[in-house]
Amino acid sequence: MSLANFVTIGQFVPLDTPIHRLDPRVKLLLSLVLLVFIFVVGKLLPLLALFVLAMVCAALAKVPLMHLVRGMRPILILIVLTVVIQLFSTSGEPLLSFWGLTITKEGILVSLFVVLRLILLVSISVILTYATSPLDLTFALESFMLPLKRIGFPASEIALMMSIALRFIPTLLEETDKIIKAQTSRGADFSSGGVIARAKSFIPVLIPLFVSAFRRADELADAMESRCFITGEKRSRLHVPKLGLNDFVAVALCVVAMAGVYVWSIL
Amino acid sequence: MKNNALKKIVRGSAIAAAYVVLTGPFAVFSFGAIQVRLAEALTILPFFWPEAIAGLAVGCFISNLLWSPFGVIDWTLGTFATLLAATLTFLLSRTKKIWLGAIPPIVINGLVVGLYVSVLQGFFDIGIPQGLQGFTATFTNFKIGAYMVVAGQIMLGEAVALGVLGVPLAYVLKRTGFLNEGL
Repeated sequence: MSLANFVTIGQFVPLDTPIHRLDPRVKLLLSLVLLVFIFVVGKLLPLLALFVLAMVCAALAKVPLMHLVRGMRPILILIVLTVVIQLFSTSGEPLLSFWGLTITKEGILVSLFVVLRLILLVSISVILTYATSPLDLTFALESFMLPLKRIGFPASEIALMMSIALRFIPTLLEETDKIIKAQTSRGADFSSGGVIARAKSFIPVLIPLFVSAFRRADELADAMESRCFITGEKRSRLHVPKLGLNDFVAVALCVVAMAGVYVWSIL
Repeated sequence: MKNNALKKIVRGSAIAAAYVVLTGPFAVFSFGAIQVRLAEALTILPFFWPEAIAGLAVGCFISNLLWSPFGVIDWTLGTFATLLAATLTFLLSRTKKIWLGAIPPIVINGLVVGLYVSVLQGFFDIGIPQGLQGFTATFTNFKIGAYMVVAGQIMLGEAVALGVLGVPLAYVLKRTGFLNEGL
């Protein structure tokens, strides 16, 4: 992968939409709650309503439809497998049977339900990562972790590790690119052979990459230390996100929507 | 000692970043149903460095943040599985047998990731009984055969990454004396 492709890593697209403008902490929290909520809804139609609402959010965030569809691609095999197994293994009113296999009405409904749940799950994640930068997401996570400091969890150390790692990624990516090119020029082949051969061909990449990463880490630690960096001290930020009116409105809307869907699903 | 603390954090970051780079789209390949994530080779590292535990968890989290189709579930449970496996690998380092350190990532990831992937596929539902009596969730409609297939696929992928890449990496690091360099 060349460095130019790095821009496309992750799914974040910087736009100015109501969803992008929300506080990252609110977005992460709402996504987590929604995720759990998806598993609470036990009926097809209320789940469909939730899906429609998710699509409204996607439209608000200006997520292109193709981007959403592409997000589903990694789980395509999973969807097909799920449908096949659920379709034939659910007992109920038989609709169709051939070669000793029976498709039931319940099987179709269960397949639809599970697939919709998977799609909804992926959609929420796609919308979140489309509208929130990785840096903002780590900030949100850090602020959720901070209370854990009281019970001895190394929250600020982990947060520091995360920010340095994010900064390291482009550097190491460039390094990997160089190593791959260097080994290719020596006759290395990364794309042929079976699964074992292909994994094996990565040994000459992995070892130099690893050694170089460690050397860079030690250099960086020395550089930070010589600039008087002290671990465990509170860090300051250039931009501190603040909760605004829009964040409260978003939370309120979500609560109302979830309450509505929940009531519908237990009626 | 302060110097060492910072060094450990930065080293953890380097491991995390290496994990992310190795998880890049070019380094996850699948052969039929078996997916191999090359970055999983690094899960052997807690055998030598305890800071690798945090590094791997952070690396796994960022990778899943960037590319995982399952989103939040992978960020939390996937990271948890990595954390648990890395801690066990670290504990097994007392045995001095490198191949033993490769076992926790294979088994834990297979079991935990396999579990939530099969839950997502609806192979069994976690049903909460009416009225939340006693907060006990019951596993209904459990299709254990399907779970074993999913877990087995993940274990095979992990075994390839660790057996072909991870364990040889560990032996090379040990043999070349890199472990004692600049500590």
